Amino acid sequence: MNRLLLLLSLMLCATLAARAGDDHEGAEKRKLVLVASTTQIADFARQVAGDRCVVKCILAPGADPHTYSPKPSDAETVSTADLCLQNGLHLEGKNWMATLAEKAGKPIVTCTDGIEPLVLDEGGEKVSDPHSWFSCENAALYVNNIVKAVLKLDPDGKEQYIARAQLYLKQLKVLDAWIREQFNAIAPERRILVTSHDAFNYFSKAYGFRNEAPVGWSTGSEVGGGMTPERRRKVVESIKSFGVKAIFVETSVNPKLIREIAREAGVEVGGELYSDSMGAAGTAGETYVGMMRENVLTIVHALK
Amino acid sequence: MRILGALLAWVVIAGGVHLYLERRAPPPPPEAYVERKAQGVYALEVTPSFGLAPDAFALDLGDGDAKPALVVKLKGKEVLRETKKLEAGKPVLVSPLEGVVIGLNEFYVSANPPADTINRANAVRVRVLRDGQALDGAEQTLWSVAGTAVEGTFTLTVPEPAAPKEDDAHGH
Repeated sequence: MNRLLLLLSLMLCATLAARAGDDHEGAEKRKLVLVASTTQIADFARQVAGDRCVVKCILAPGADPHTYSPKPSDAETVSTADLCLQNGLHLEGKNWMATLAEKAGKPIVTCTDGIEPLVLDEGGEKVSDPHSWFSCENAALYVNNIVKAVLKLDPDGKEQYIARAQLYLKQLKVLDAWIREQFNAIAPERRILVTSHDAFNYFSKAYGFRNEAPVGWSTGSEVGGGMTPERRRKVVESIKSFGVKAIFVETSVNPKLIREIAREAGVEVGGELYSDSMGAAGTAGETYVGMMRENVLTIVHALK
Repeated sequence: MRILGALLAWVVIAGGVHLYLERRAPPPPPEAYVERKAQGVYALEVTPSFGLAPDAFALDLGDGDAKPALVVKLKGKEVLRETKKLEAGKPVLVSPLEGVVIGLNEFYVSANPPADTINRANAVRVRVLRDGQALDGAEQTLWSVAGTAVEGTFTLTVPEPAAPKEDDAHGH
């Protein structure tokens, strides 16, 4: 009799456990997968999607999107995607994200759609600056593009996506106002931002800075990218003639060049700025808001 | 034989549990809350202390809705949405104001300043009128943190209508 009862109990437990397991797996399976090319876009997507979607990012924190070469594991990651998200405007050097998505047959959304790009004149060539997330107003456009794409994919989650997006847009708006207040402490004539590469044009335009960089819009070999002796000479001259107090290295670019320029021009390196990539998990710059906040504090501390 | 008996018992028990879980009656729905419309013609007057401008950070779903400068909601439903620039000190009137009920009515107000009003606190005065008369306790000034939009809620309590006097009921 005891054996019989034991057998019955085991079978019942097995049945209930199998049922619970099925439910759990079902819930996991229903989650959509969004694969973003850059850390900024992954953060925007997480803010909109919350726990309703799984957000994966191809670039690791600190990686350079201009020069990145996709690995076989990236193709595997993209193959799991319901939707791919890229920056566009050739930030992803040689269009690596669009190529990955195309090869995997996955839909892709360009988050800079609708943004009025700054056009750079690079030695007679016109190039659209891809670093548009550096103005909070543009970041709001990224978020709006992501919301629209996710709503098409998962209309059942509309209320949640919209509520999350509205909260995040408010955070961006507060961030924008806070940045303007912080920079108010730097005299307008001292607002000169010298960084490793030409990534801060949108930032400079939004917050009243003059921007100088020894390396063009891309750290790669695209048109107008890379370092030229002419650019380098111009940067050193600008630093000297405008009495710049400090210049900045970037987390995703080798700091050697900026350190050399600082020595040559006789100025300090004011700190490290997050540029094409955000910080690693656990750092203050692991989110867009944190990245912008830390950059602003570094700039204010060095230039005030 | 014992094994077959055990299997049969298992089928009966597991099947019974499964059927119970699948077919048990849902809990009864909560009692519906009935709203009663407040009597009289209500109006809402919103007066910003600053010029209003469309919000560049508003949600845009690409459905043609322009970005708002001023939004007022009553219990989650928009009663006012202005998408053009508005002058400082000029009142905006919503009349008649639909949706006012007896009891508590919570309004949500969002008014967006232009980007150049950094470091200045802004305010919006909101008041509710009934039959053209301002109501006691139905006026509030909402303030913002410097440079940000004015956002907040205020509550209007509409009391139960007074019961008719006995004399009136007898037609005297």
